[in-house]
Amino acid sequence: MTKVTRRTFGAGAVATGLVGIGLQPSMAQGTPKRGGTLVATWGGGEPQACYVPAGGGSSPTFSSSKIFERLARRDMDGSFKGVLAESWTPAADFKSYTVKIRKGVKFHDGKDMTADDVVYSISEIWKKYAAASALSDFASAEAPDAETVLVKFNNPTPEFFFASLLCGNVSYIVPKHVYAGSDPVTNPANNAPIGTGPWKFKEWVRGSNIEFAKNETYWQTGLPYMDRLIIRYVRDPSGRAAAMESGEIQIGVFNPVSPPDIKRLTATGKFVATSKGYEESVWSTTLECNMRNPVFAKAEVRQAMFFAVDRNLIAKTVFYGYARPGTSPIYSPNTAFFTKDTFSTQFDPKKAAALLDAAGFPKKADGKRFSLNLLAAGWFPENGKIGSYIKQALEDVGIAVNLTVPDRPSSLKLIYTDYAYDLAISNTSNPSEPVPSTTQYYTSDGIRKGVPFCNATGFHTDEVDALVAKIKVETDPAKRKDMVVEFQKIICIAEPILPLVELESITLASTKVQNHSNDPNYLAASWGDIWLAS
Amino acid sequence: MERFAFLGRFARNRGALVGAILLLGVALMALLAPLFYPTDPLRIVAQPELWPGDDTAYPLGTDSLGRDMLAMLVHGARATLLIGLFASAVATVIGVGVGAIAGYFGGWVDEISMRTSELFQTIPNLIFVLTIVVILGSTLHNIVIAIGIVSWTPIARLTRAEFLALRDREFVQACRSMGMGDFGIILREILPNALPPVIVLSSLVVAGAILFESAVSFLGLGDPNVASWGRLVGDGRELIRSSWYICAIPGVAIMVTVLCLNLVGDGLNDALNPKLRDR
Amino acid sequence: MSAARGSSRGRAAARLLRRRLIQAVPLLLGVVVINFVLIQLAPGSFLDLMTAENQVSDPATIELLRKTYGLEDPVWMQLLKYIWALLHLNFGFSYRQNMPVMQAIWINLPATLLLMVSSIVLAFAVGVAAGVVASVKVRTFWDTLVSIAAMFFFAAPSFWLGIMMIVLFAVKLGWMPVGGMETIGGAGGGIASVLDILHHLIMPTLALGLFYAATYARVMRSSMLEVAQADFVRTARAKGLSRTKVTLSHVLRNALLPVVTILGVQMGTVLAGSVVIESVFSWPGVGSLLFDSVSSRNYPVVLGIMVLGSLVVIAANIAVDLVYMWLDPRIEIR
Repeated sequence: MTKVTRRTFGAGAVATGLVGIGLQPSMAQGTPKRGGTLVATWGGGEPQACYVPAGGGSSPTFSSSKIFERLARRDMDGSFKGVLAESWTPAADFKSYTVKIRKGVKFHDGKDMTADDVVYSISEIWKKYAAASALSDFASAEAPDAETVLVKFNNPTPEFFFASLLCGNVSYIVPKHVYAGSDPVTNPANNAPIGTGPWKFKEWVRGSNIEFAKNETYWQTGLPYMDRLIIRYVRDPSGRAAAMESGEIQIGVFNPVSPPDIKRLTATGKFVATSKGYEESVWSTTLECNMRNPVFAKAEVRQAMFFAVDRNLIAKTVFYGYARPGTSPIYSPNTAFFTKDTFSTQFDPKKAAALLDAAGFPKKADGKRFSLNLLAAGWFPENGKIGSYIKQALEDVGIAVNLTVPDRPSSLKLIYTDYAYDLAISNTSNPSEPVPSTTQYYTSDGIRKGVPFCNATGFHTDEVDALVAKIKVETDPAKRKDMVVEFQKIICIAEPILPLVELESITLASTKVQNHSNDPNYLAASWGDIWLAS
Repeated sequence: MERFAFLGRFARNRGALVGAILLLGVALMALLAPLFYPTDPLRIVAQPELWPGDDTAYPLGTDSLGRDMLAMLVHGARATLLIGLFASAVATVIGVGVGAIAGYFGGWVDEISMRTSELFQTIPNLIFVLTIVVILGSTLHNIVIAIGIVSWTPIARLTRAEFLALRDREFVQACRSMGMGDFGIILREILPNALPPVIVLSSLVVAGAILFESAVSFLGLGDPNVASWGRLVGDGRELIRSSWYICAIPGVAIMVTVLCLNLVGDGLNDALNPKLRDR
Repeated sequence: MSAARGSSRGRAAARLLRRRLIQAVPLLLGVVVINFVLIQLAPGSFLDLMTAENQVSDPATIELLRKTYGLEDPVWMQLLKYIWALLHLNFGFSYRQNMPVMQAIWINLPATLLLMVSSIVLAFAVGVAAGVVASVKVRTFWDTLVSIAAMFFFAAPSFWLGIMMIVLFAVKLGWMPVGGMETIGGAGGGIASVLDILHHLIMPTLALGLFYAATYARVMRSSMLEVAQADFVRTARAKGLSRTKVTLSHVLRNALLPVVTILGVQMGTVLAGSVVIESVFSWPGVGSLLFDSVSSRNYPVVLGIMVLGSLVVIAANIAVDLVYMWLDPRIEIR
């Protein structure tokens, strides 16, 4: 079974000086050729709806981001650029922001986009669905005039955080006249959305593809360059490889084909593989220790877990090299906040054994110290393989391991509702802005039973809670960065969650495709400036 | 005397003989697995995707993670045979139980039993197994139960037919007039006579159970702690371009085992029904 | 005389039909209840999946979703509501695909029906032909060949067979496509599209159908041999009819009976087998939909497919009984 739909949440600022690991796309500079059809695909399946107000995972994000637009976006160099917003300014106390809305933007049905649509989107859609956790301090949004929106918070809100909010994965500006008065979740417009973006929804052939047509009245004159965009959904990676080889599909994002096929196709010279375009949606595989098991009470025991595991081996064999060992809850491409200067746990089984002995868990007569249940969440097939390896690695230091690989709904329930595991292999994808997506794994208010992808380990300390509360409201960027660095240092010693590997997602494209992978979350970009050379 | 005649008839069917010998070989492999490969076969031991013959230490090569194919194959024999046997046992227990009371008591007991068996026959079997495994969890026990639940109906029908034929015989009436209770008659008088064809059918159910289990593991729902043959085939799917031996070898093993079971089943059938032998 | 016989057969058929249709109702009800119970027993509900994908962390919103999807009713009430809806031919709404269940199944159904029908036709044609040949040329080279081939295809797991075919014919030789039902991007309309689909259909049909062909070959062979020894056949031969005519008109017709019986019984397994084959060949049918739906606890779709699958089995069995009665007028099925 291929990878199930994934989740991405929120967005944050992109860091400066991003280094794309892997091959660089050859981007021919030259005049863009107009017209033509682009057929794209991605490494997952068809979405449940073309637009899901709460996000719904990567698949609906991929389809809806061509039709809708956000207030801002991040550029590859890390700066924030306005899209539907021209600018935003904080008040002196940082408790409110004045956002200037772009003039002359029309929805696909001809109606004007105004501040009322922005107010509606923020108050009704973002607050309730798209960015609920991030907007925990949200007070109100008002439109003093048709081109201005005033967003008010209960507490001081850092600028980086606010800008990231405007770039949120599914923080779109939706038409009030379509959604007001209805239930946004079941509104039929979700299957034929009306937005402001460069592409208009044309047709959805279920089981096959979604077709978009050029938005002739797009506010960025001259764009899009092409006439048609088709997103083709293919269930099986080898089917996608075959389609790309025969030229039917020109670009695939988010690991469209298996790593051996990536190597094979790029070797023909007709394709290019790049890991650029994922800096804001880095996925990682994590190993989580359930703090409710008294065995994990001491930090040394948790650290020992991590000394026992060879993360380089995982990156090499399970991911064919398309991954790198993780070190911190903040990802390495995030140069706004990432620090290398943290307690490191390199592969050292002897040290792991020593730590366990010192913590009071010597090897008993049968050679075992204690036994653990290892639950590898079955939504990625790689998790099962990692589970097999970790079982072996832990058994080598004297820990008996029972491995289970439940399917997606069972894994969600067992990990995030029942907390029925000792060690869990799970995944997370966080943007650059650490609050709340990253921090909610380590704070007491992140412990929400039944809510997935937040604090399931049960870890919390007063120190960390207080630190995160300060990070939320610190408006000085330099001070804020120091606080986040301190956060990382503390977490890396406490290690309730080990970032096993950071995954390198790959975009595979024909060499004819120009101007791709130019957004740090390329899957969720609007693709208005893409074109095909002949 | 009769037992020798039975074996003699069995041995005359060459196919069955070959099948029995090969099956014995598979069983031996399964039993002796811990002797030849004492460590966990799921351990990563070498470089991934070594072709058979590349390295003499790993005669059948390694899989995508670097595990020894031969070790997994040999240990997989245990899992495969055990699942087949136990699933068949579950199916036989349920099937004989239902068939016996249906055939013996008749009437509404028979009606209900037959309607129930029809119900289980109507639901497409693999789909039923998948659903049950997903619900109960992917462990060996659950897979055995799930396969047993979908495999009992032919056994029930056969047992019922046998009981229908036997219950009105004189020896049964004699027991009844002696005052023997119903269940005593069922268990001690009729069942031993009804069993031989049921045993033959059970052997075919073993083959079916092995195919079920390999399909379930192939689809990724098998027990992750066990290196079953079906799972090996499933794991090798994304590497069919470069390392198709990962899919091929375990599949051959499954086929050979199922084939042997079929041959043995046919042999048993012929041996039990000599008048139908020359078909 | 034949007219009277025809109409009495017609009446017998009508009686059978009515009886079986009445019997079908509690059967279907049983199927629905079993499946509903199974899905409810599963850990991790549909809502868990929805909240994960919707990234909902706010408890109030979770309650809202629970109400929206009707999951706040007690289980028995959900079952009753479902049965009531079924009686109105409403299979419910699939929130995962955002469309009615019937529509979700309907979109995927043609692909599966195509695969099932072609597999059964292949299995029947190949199996019966092979069985006849083997029985006519009994104990010669041809007989042995058919027996060995039948043994091979009977024992080989269908998914493995499919993968090996892909390796040989698609990857190594390049004669066949690697998977899917059509070439992506379309082959151009009309005849070209039809041929394209047929081209993609070949390997899945073989992988699914050869197992059943093996069964039919073996049964046909033994059935032919058995019938050939029957009295009425010897009578026909004694009357001077040629061997071929006897074989074709008398023996074949009667020998087909066991095969026809098996055909009906195997409808369910063919549907089940297509789940695996659709996975191997990325065939966009109901099997793939079912697998996705079981994995995502999308119980309206799972129940819908199970119920429809059971309907197919019941219908097939009725059809088989009718064909059986037509083939052998001496029999009236109870």
